[in-house]
Amino acid sequence: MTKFDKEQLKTLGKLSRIPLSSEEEALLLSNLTKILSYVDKLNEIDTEKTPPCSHVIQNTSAPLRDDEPQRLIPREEFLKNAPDHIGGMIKVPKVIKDQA
Amino acid sequence: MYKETAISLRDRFLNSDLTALEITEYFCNRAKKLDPQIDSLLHSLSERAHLQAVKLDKKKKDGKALGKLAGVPIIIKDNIQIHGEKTTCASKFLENYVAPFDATVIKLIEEADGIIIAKSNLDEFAMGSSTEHSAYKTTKNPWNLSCTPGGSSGGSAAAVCAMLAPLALGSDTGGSIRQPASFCGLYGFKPTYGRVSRFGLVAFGSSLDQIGPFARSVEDIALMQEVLASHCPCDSNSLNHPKEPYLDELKESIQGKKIGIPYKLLEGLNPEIRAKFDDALDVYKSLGATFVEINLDLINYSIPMYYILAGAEASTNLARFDGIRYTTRSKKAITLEEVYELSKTEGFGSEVKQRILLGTYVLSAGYQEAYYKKAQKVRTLLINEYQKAFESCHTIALPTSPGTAFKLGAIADPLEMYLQDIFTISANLAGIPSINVPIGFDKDNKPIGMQIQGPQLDDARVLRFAHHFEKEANVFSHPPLFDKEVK
Amino acid sequence: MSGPPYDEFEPVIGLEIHVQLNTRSKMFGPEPNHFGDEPNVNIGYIDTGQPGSLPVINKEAVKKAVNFGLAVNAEINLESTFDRKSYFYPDCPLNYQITQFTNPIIIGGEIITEVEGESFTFQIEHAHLENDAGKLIHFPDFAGVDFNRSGAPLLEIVSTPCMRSPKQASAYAQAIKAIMEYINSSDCNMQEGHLRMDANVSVRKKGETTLRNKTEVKNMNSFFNMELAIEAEIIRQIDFYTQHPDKDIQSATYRFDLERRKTIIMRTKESADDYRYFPEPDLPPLVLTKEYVDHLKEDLPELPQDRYKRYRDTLQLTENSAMQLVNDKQLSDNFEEGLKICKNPIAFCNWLTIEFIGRIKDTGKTLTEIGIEALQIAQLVNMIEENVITGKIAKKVADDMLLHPGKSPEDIVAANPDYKPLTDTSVIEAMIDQVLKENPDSIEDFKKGKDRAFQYLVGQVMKSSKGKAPPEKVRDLIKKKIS
Repeated sequence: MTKFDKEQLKTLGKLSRIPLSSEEEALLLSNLTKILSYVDKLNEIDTEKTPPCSHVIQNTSAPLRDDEPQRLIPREEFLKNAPDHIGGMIKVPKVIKDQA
Repeated sequence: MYKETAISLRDRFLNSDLTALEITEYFCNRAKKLDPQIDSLLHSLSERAHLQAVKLDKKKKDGKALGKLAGVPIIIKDNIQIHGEKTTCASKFLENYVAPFDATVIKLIEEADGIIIAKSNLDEFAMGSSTEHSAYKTTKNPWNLSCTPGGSSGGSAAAVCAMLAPLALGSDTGGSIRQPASFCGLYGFKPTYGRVSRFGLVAFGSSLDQIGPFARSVEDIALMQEVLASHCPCDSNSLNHPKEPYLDELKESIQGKKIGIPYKLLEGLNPEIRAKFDDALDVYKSLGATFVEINLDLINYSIPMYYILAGAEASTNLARFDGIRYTTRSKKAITLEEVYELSKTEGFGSEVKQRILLGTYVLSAGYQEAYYKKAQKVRTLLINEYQKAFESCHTIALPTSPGTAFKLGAIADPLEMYLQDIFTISANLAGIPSINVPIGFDKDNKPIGMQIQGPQLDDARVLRFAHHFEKEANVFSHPPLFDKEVK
Repeated sequence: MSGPPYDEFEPVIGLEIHVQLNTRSKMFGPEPNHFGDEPNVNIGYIDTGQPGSLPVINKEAVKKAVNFGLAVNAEINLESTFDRKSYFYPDCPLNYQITQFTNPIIIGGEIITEVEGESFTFQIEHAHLENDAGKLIHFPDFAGVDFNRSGAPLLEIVSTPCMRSPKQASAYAQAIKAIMEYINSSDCNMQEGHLRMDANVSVRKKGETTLRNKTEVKNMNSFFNMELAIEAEIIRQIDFYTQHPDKDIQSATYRFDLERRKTIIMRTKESADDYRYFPEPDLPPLVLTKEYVDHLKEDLPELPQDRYKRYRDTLQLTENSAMQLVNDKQLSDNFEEGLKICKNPIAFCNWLTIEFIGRIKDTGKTLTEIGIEALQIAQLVNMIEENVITGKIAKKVADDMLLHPGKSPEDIVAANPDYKPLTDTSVIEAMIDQVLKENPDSIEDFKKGKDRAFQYLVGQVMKSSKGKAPPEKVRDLIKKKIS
C-alpha cells in the first residue's frame, strides 16, 4: 500500500504535537511500518457494498438533557490541578493573536 | 478471611460476624504487606476506606438498609475517577492529577456500601497487554513473579489473584480484563457495550471500552454486575435497560443449550491450551450442552481493525492531555507550541506515543478512506458474522489468549504484543458480553483461560454458562505464594 | 471611479455565521451558559476536557436549532450525527470540537429580505450544532484562558455563495439576526459575541460561470464593519487580477483592519490543520420525530419576514420604516404593543422610529430601558389625531416624556396649560390681526404670488400663540383675511 516514511512521521508528529527524537523516530518508523503493512490485510476483504459501523449498538438515539444549569466544579478545585494559573484563568505563554 | 468471596464477606458482615472496620483493616493490612511482592497497587485508599467502614458500621447499628456490597473491600483500576483521589492512568502526565468528580461506577459501588481500598496499576492509559507500560511500577503475576499478569488491567487482576480483595474493577477495550483474568486464573467479565456507564472512565477507545469486574467466583461477578449494570444519564451510549437480577439468573439449567465453536480458529493453537480447551468442552458436554461449528473467520482481521479504530479514537481521546489545564507541564517550555510538544514528549510513554501517531495517521487526509473507513466497514461485517453465528447457538466458546503468562520483558515486538489480543478483540468490536473462565494450568503451573461469549444484552446467559462450568469443573485454585495469612 | 475596472468584475460572497443559542446550560453539559461572570466559575467536566467526561445533548439547543430551520423553510434532518474536528488551541479543552460535519440537523433554507428596495432570496446551504470554545485573553507577556464560554451551544449557519455585494451580505446577516431574536433562539447581543460572521469572498469577470479561489475574512464584529471589510477584500482581489490577469488568488484567511480600511492576511491555507473529521463515538445519532417537528412548527411565533409583509401590505408603512422596525425586535414589539390602541399606524410608526428613537439615539439605551412605554407613545399619537393637542405641542410633550419617563402624555398635558390648544377663534383672530398689522410687506408679497410670505405670516401667528393655535385654522383665517 502506501509507503510510510520519515516525512510522514514528521507530519504526524506535528499534527499530534508529539515531536520525536532521532532514536524514537527510527524505532517508530520501523514499528509503524510493520504495523501498517499488517493492517493492510484488511484489503483482502471486499467491503464495496458494506456500510461503515459508527455505533456498535444499533437503533439507539442520543438522549436529550433538560436545560437546567448547574455549576459542577468550584473554581479552586479546577485551578488546583492547573500547572499555572493567574487571576482565576489558566495561564499559558503569549499566543500570537488571530491564530484560530 | 482472605480467601472469602465478596458474597461470603458481605454475609458475615450482615450477620455481625465481622464489622466493616475489621474487614477493611484486614485487607488494607494484607495489601500493605503483600503488594510489594507483586506491585499491583498505585495508591492505597486506606484512610478513606477506614472512614467509610466506620460510617458503615454505624449505619448498620442504626438499623438502616444496607447495600448489596455492604462491607466488601474493592480495588479500582487507576483510570477510573474517584473524587478527591489521584487518577494517574499509570502515566507521568497525570502524576498529580486529582479527580474532580466520581465515576458513575464509583457512585454505584458506594451507594451499595462497597468499600474501595486502593487504585491499581495498569498499562499507561490502558494501552498494552502486560502492564509493563506503566510509568510507575511493573506488576508481577502472583502465580509466577517473573511473569506478567497480563494487561492492561494487570494491577486489578494480580490484586484479586493474590487475594488482596475479593473484587476489583478493570476496563476492557480489546481484552484488557479477560486476558489478565486468563493469565491470573480469575473470572474477568466484559459486559455488553453500553451496559455499564463509561462516565468517569478515562477514555481510550470510546466505542470499545467497558468497565467490568475481576473475581474468584462467578457469583461475585454477578453481584457486582447487579450493582453496575444500569442506565446512566451522563453517558449517551448507556443502554436504556433496567437492572437485572444476575444472581438469580445463574441458576437456570444449560441442559440442551448449544455452544458455538469456531474450530477453524483453533488450528495452530498452543497444544497445552488446546488440550485444556477440549477438557473444558467435555465439562460442558457433561452439563448437557451440545456443540455446533460456527464461522468467525473475520476474527483473523480483528487486530488490524482494532488498531485502526482504537488508535483513531485514542488519538483524539488523548489529545486533551496537553500541559495546559491539568496535566504536568514541561518546565522547559517557553512558547505555547513548546508547552504542547515538550509536555507531551515528557508526559507520554513510548507505547502511548506510538498509538497516538498511528491513530492520527489513519484519520489524516488521504488515508482516512483506506484505513479508518475500511476498518469501520469490516467491523460491520464482523458484527453480522457474530449475529449469524448466534442464530445457531446460545453462546460461543473460544480461547482467551494464544499463550499463558509470558516472562516480563519477553515481548518487545509491538506486533507480537498486539497478537496477544487475537481472541479477545472481536467481542469489543461487536459490543458483545464475554467472560474469561479459568479452565486449568499449563505444565509450568500457569493458568489457562477460556472465553464464553453471548449476543448483545445476553450478559446473564454468559454468566450462567460460566457459573455452571465453575460448579462442575472445580478447577479454580489459589496461587501458593499468596495462599497464607499475614501478620 | 478611475483605476482597475471594477465594473467588469462581479463579487461572489458566502457567509458563515456562528450564533450563540440562549439556552440556560451548555451544549453538551449542564454548566451555566452565562456571560460576564468571573473567569472559570461556570464550568464542569466536558467543557474543561476532564478525563472521563462525556457529552449529553441539550434538549433546548436542539429545539432552538429546529425552530431556526422551520423559520427559514429548511429541511429538518430527522437523524443527524456529530463528528469530532481535531485541532490544538488553548481555548479548546478537548483539542477537538464536537460538530456536525457530515450530516447536519438543518439542510437548505432561504432568507427573503430587501436590499435597497429590491427583494432577494438568499440560499442557506445548511446549519449545524456545535460547541463553542473558551476565551483566550491576551496580556503583554502571557495569555489567560477562561472556560466559562467553552461548551456554549452554537448554531453555525452556512450560506451558499449567493451574495453579490457587501450590502446583500449585510442584509442577509441582519435578517438572520432578526429571525433568531423573533424565535427566541439567541439574544443576538453583538457585544457579547452572540453573532460572529465570517465571509468567504471571491471575484470573477462578469459572465464567468465557474468560481475562482476564495479568501476568508474574519473578525467583523458589526454589520457596518462587515460591509467595509468585504468591500476592501473585493477591491484587493480585483486589483490583484488586474495586475496579474493570468494568476489565481491564494486561498487564505484575512482579518479586517478598520483604521487602514484594508484586509490583512492572517495565515495561508497550507498552514491550516488537517481536521481529521470522524464520527463522534460518544454520541449516537440525534433522532427527531415528525410529530416533534410539526409541534414546533405550530408554535412558531410571527417571523420578521411575515411581520415585514404585514407592515408593508396591511399597514402601508414605507419600506425603510418597515425594515427599521423589523430588524429591531424590541422596537417592533413596542410598535405591536402600541398598535393595539393606536388610531394612525403610520403616524405612530413615525413618532416611534423618528421622533422618539431620534431623541434617545445618543444614549445607547432602548426605550424600554429608559422607561417609556409604547402605549404612551401611541396615546400621544392618538391625542394628535383627536386634536387634543397640536403636532407642534406634541413634540414638546415628547421632550417632557423623556425627562420624566413613565409619565403618561395625558398627565403631562393636563398639568401644563400651555399645552392645551387654543380653541377660541376670536383670540386667534386678534393675533392674526396683530400680525397682519405688523407685516404689511408680507401681505404685499403674498398678493404678488410669493407663497413664502404666507408661510411667514402663519409662522408669526404660531409664534404669538406659543404653538397652541391649530395650524389649519390659522391658515384658513389668514387666507380669508388677506385674499
